[in-house]
Amino acid sequence: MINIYSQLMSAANKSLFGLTLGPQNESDGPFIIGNGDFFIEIPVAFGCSFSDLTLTGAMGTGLPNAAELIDKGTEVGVESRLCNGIKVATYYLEAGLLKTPDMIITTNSCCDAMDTLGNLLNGYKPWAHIPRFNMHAPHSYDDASYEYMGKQLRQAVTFMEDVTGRKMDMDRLREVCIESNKQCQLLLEFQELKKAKPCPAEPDLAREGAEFKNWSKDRISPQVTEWLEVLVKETEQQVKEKKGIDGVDEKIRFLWQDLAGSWASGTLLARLQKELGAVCVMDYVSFGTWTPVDLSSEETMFTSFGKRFLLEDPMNRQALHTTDLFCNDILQIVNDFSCDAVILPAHIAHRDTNSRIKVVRDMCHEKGIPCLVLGIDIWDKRYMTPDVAYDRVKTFFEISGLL
Amino acid sequence: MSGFDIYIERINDILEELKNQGRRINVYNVPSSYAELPRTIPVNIGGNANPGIILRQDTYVELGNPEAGSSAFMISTNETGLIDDGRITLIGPDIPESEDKSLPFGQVILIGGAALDDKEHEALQQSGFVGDKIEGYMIRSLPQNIWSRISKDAAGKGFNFECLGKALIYLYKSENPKIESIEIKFITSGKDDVKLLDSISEQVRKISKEIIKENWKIKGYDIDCELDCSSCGDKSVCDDIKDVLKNRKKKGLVK
Repeated sequence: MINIYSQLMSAANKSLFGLTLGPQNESDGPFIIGNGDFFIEIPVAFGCSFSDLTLTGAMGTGLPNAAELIDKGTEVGVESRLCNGIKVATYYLEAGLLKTPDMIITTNSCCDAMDTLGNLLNGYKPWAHIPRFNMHAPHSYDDASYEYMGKQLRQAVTFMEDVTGRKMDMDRLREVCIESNKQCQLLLEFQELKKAKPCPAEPDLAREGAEFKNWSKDRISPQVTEWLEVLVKETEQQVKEKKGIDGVDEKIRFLWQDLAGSWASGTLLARLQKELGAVCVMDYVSFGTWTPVDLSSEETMFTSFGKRFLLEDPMNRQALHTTDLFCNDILQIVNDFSCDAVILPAHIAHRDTNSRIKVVRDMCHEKGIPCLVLGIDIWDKRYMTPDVAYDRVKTFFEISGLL
Repeated sequence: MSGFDIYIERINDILEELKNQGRRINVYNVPSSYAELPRTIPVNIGGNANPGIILRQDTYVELGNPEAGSSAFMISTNETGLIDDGRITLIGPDIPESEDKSLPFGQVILIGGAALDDKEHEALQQSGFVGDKIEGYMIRSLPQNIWSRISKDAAGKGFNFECLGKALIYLYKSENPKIESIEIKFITSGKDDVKLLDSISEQVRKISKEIIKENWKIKGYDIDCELDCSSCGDKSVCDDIKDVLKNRKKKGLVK
């Protein structure tokens, strides 16, 4: 059945998947490549194209020839347990499939694989002549860290200005931030609506919305705002009418504490929802904690960017900081979204998360929250097939008394 | 729990300063015995008292939208004399006069108990997640600060900051028997007024983090260890393994 949600999903996907190898927000201006998410409002306001190579690689794992791409990445010679999303990115780079950038901006980040990718980018000989800027993200979250990170993002702008010989229009940056703030508020509104029982809309739309806002070729545009407004309005109506997801008899609500990756949404999570009425109400990319960019001055804007980058980018939030923050977020999500269980997918390459498995298990045990550790590869379904993962989750729900 | 005491005095100084600047102040005093409090509040209190979502169109007033300003924290002390038990202070406009507004929101909860120790800190913090426990009051999921909504229905029943304060006192005391006294301060008078709490909130968070860290240590976990390779004690072992693998690859022993 084609309903408004399928139309929204299709519009966002079109914008997201049209750019598998090309840069996001393609424009006539210069092209920047990086190993992670830069503060995207900056390249948008500067009128340049930006490509997050990690994302490009991750999207490759969603293609029909994903297995071949992953194996080619392994053949490049990177460490065998490296994240497969990054392996594909490595292959794209080493095989010369990427458009030559005008600038490279890298950062140390939450993930060892992304760091490796940054090193490969910086050491890639054919691009040795390209100007580069490397930022340092501290592993802390306090005002001093936000200021420190904000200053580096400001320096990155100066670097972009030096390379291109043109100035950043700060009024334009402010305009982009106003639009971005609006979009964050709408995403947070949708997040609140997911608390309703039964869950009123496909929860994955939250992730889709966040990706559409930040990663698609239409990023931060009024089209995204309009998309989000329709999403919220429709879902408010669903809540009012106490309606759940079309065709789903909700019995279990759970948290998937990792990225959904490239295959789980369409296979495992969809099947759990349809066959068992088990709805994944939250995953860690969808958990939005954005505070609006403070537009009072240039300095406050960049400090806000620093905070967004360090603490409010979902993967940085969950992986760059302490176990205490990670555990508190789990507890808050379980409480606020009435989750019956926590599933730690334990993506084989997420060493940061995997080092916390015992702590999370102990905490869940102490609080009486059923917890399952899966151990899948979110980018490569050959490691644990969707069917095997489904059986494990189903058995877990059964023995926990949830089914 | 004495690490926080100095900040209680600073909070009182901030409130005094706002008073001197002519801000409107309302003070309510609630009796020490909390058990009767729910009967004096026009909405239900307790688990599942607010089971639904408060939609935008059903919202009477919004508190602490990050764009309007928000700061919220809890401080505990063993010096019960520092806390004026049952006192609720509001600086700025109250709920009934704020229809369709988005008010800045500062919320400070001061807790006293001679027998409170660091082990209770986490439980006290969790009592702050009032979630669905106050009818017509919905706290949105935004860690660190409080961003909430009050429904038109609750406002229609006369819900105001005195009621919110009473509900919080009831929930804290009923969930934590070691609490002897509670005092609550709300600020809604302006973004800059709420911002005055930020420097204290930052310090409180730091102390709180240390307490939590120690509590984790007791359980056998160091939650604040450095995560990058350069600071890891086992880096030399990893480097050796990498060298071995490199050599084996060179010799064609591994693919």
